[in-house]
Amino acid sequence: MFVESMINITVKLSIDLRCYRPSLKINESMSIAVPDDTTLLELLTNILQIPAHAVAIPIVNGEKCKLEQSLKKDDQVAFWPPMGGG
Amino acid sequence: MNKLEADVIIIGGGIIGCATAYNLIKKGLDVLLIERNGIGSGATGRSGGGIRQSARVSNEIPLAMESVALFPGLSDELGIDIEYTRSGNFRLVEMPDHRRPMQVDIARQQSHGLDVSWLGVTDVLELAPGLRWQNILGASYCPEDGHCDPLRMVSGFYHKAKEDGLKVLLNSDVQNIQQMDNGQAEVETNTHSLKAAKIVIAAGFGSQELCRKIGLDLPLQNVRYESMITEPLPPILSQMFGVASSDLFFRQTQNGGIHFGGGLIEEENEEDTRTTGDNLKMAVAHISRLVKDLGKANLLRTWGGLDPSTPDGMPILDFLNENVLLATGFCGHGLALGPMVGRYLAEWLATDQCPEALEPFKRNRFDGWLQTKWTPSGAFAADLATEATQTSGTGTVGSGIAFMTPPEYDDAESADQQKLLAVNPEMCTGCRMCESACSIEHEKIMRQTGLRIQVAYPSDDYFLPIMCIHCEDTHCMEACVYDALEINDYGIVTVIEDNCIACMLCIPACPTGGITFVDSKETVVKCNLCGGDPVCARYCPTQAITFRAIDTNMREKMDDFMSKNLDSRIDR
Amino acid sequence: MFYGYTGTILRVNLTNGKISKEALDKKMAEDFVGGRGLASRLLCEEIDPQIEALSPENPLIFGTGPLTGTGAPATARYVVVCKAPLTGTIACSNSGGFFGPEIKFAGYDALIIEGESPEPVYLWIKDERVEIRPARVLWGKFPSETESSLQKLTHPSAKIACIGPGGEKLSLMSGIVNDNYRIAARSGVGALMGKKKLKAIAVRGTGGINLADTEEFWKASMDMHAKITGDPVSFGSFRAYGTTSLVNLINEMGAYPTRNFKSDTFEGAANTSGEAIAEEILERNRACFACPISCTRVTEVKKGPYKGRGEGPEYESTWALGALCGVSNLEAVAKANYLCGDYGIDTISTGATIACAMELFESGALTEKEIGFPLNFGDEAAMVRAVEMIGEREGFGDILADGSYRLAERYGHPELFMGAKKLEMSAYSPRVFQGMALQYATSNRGACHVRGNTVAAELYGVPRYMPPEVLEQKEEMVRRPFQNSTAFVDSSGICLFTKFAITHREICALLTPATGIDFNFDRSIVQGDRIWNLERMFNLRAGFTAADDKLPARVSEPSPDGPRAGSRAILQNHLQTYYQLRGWDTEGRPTPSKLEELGLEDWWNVCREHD
Repeated sequence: MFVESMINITVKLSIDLRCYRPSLKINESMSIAVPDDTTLLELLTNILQIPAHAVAIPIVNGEKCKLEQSLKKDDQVAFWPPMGGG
Repeated sequence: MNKLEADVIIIGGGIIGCATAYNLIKKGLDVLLIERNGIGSGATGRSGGGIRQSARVSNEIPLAMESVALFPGLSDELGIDIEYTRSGNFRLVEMPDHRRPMQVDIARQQSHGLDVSWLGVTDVLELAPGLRWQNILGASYCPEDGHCDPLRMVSGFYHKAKEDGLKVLLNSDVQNIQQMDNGQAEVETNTHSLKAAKIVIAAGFGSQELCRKIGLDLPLQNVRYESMITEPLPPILSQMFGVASSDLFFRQTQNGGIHFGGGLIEEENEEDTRTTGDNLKMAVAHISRLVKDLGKANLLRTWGGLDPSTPDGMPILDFLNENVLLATGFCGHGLALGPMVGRYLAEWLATDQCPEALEPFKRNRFDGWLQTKWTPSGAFAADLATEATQTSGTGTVGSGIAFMTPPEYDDAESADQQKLLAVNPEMCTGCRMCESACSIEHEKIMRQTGLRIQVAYPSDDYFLPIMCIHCEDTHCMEACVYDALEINDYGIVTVIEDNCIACMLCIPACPTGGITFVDSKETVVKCNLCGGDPVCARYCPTQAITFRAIDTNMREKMDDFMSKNLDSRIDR
Repeated sequence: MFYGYTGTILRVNLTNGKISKEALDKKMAEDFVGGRGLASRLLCEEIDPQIEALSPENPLIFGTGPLTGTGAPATARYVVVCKAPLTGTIACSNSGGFFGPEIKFAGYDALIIEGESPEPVYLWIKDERVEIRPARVLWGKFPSETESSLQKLTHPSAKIACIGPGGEKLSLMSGIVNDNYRIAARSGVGALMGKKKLKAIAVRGTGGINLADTEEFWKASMDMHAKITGDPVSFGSFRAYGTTSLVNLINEMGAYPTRNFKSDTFEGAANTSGEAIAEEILERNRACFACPISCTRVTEVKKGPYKGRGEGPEYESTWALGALCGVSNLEAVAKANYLCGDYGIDTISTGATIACAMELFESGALTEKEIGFPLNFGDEAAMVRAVEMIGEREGFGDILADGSYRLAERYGHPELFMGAKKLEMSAYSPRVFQGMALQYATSNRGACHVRGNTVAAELYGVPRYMPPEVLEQKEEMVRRPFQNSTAFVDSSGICLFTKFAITHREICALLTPATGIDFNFDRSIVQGDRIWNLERMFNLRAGFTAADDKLPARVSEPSPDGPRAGSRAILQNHLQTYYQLRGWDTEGRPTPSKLEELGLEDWWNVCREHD
């Protein structure tokens, strides 16, 4: 028996990462459904097709995460390039 | 020999050629279409008829979405029923190993805004009860996809365009294309010599040969697709179907026949539309595993068709020279793109501006790939598509980045020319790093006066460095009466400090403020290109100053903006 | 012979017009590097920290670092040091542009301005020639007008530092504006300049800065150039979107203080983000002296009620005038920012004070009658109007102009002041960033983000990632790689923004060939520590105690909403560990042995003599 296991998440791209989805507005998030054991790295490279080295700060639900982390239902993912400032 | 002229000549009477002709005619242009056989006789008429946005590489999705949006209105617009059904497209997954990659791929397509989702087998069967559940795990499903009759569609475009004044040469073989001195190009066929400002090559599998005629070898590989159709059956399938693990596709036409088939790589680039028994057997066996009660249906006919593929699975839409626009390499899925591609190509031809939507399809993405051995299989194409997306990601969003992207210079052609300092005020941020580098290099002390290069601040958002541009006029040498300036073999004027008595006649003689008096030395100084590796260009963080070959035009521009802004220099 | 340093300190007494030049004490330079360290050391020699800040006895010291103006990457910084009018702590406000290098080219490491002029004056420094000139015609002018007038009166390339009407009117939030757009803003240093009736300083320098080993220096400069231009932060997001590239990120983290720190997420953040600025009002980038980063953004609002042109808004300004006041209209924020520039007032304190007033108004402690109009959170027109009133000290602006601490006290709600040591906090919520919480509480000039921007470690992972909520080892992180290190960087004359690409090692690799003095990594750590302790000593002497190392009660309560709901600033225990690591006693006082170790015992004796 096959249990269907797609989960819905939202993804935001910021700063120069926006050039990978130019139609997204500033800070707009897109909803996509992914297999439930998808990692952030897989989301980046296979789904969004953004090279992992372009992303320095992956944030899930307000917390900085490692790219190896798996996604959970309704996660709010935001990817950021290397950042600094003040 | 007959002579004819037109604004645009289109070679190829398939969907791309006819849709482009139709849109050009609508814009009021004079268009002539040449076809080797008959309208739709190539890949178009032999295609599977799928009109889908899903299961495409990322760069093609936006174009496919735009194009598919045109289909509901096409029958009315063209005045012919193209038998379009928006019933959805399935891509079936048969093997457990393919399930997760498919789900990941669905998420990729969703991230481009496409309405596509994963359906488990129960949901698939609910929508498509004609399938056998035993061999299906699930599928990707895009409800806005569908299928149509390709021959009706292409003839719709053709006849509509012809009604409005399209000139046509059927059964004509193009033998040569060449550019002429008057800016036009000439197309020679077996019967005619034709002239036009713009030529469109949309000749499907014949395109490669035509490109070679104008000296370009593009990575196009003809792929043979084999199709067949059964006798009419009662309605059992309304959607378009593909299979994740193979090239198999199938649909039921409006008169009830099950139209199915798949692709086969053809090593030879020759016209061969035969079908092979082995291939047909495999396709029949495969579809019988997926669709109920097909075993007893009789096959009516089989046929083959050729379509060129590219390494990344996307067409090439680009000008080959000033006159010739190439539109080919649709890899067996150009039918759905046709109506929109036709619009965009017509816009491009009419305005000479590449529509932004067509930017990803330029041929320079294959620069350096020509020698690569490749096979146009799905997996490989997907890998390459990933890379293509990645490289296209260096584009620009927002003025912030766009402003800071330095222009690209082509140094290759002028490698043997003397390199000089080129200045681009657009890139200058007014940081004065060039001054600092020059001071430390030549004066061995850090200061802001008496320098060979100086930044000027004419306004709060316009800054530029000012220095000797090594002009050919050498006004400074003419002005010097003490032989204190000499010119070397490379045309660079340098100061002989021992001879200079600081009369300063050379300073006003230089229009670009290239000579400065230094009171600590009591001589004048000027740029000597640091002996061949100027530190200002090395230290400039924005490429506002670059060391490269420059042309007269650039020199004049530099002369102009430097001489105008002498009064805004720091050291004045 | 001095290298890197010019070796001369200029002293100007505005009371009696006396102008004198003093030699730089080489030992002092070695111990305190320059800039912030050296100027602070000079200040400690000049005054008893207990004096009144707005008095003729309080000197205004402009300091440059040994690298300022040397042409190595990002060497544009100068500092203004005095006893701070806003806080009563030691003040060290820092600014870039071209003014700092010009002081060096004119031949000075530092300017000490003492006394008080009876009439408005400006100072004209043309190399060794120094004049005090009347400035009656300049009084009341905006910095841009002052700059163009002064360049006509002195030299067309003269670099100008001046105060705006805010400083003239002794607003405790006023700063010193240089090169039109840059401002040494915090702690109210502009008020002291206004008190001295010194409208401006115009400098033109034609001299040079000697370098001890030009070859080595150039090599180190190129090396640093390569590191900065190869760095994705310094040369990536900073250049493309400026500091405001952070707005969406910090908001996504739920660490973007909103409506006077009532919440930590702002629903309107995207409207005022770096991307929005780049797309809507950005004209072009500009750079400070010798800086490859060029984070300055020239912007223009082309039409409408908020029409204007200027620089920024930067991240903190966008936040203070935006989210903190609940305002999400980018053009209004930009306009308020331009006005702050015109009046020469600090955007952070201005925004925070208006936000505090908004909360007082909404809670009923302030009435419409007192203010003159309703001042609700999110009312952009009222916010812009309030900025103007602060700059002019007009009506209720007269009360606002002295900052949120005094405002909250005056209306009986001291708990609504969101800062420490009378200085308002900045745009990183201490509820989320525990390192930042400790840094705000212990910073020597009050709650400030650039004394130790721990967000670098707690978010970007520079020098290494420490999750924001973690408490362990945060004391050491705040102390050494941030507070001490920043003190060293500020003293060298290089910009703090390079720190994403380089470390002390690269700075020392520049300092040594520039000055001929042996600077190395180990010594730089001690130098930073020494400077920090000196500043602490100043504050203790000025009357501050461990009780002042605290945060407002509100941030110790759980964050109400957003992705980090429930998080709060935790200071207890934390503080004692921090004191211990610093070598201080439980009262937060450096122990005699710590002072001896740093060679500060002399100064402590000097201080005692004042008793």
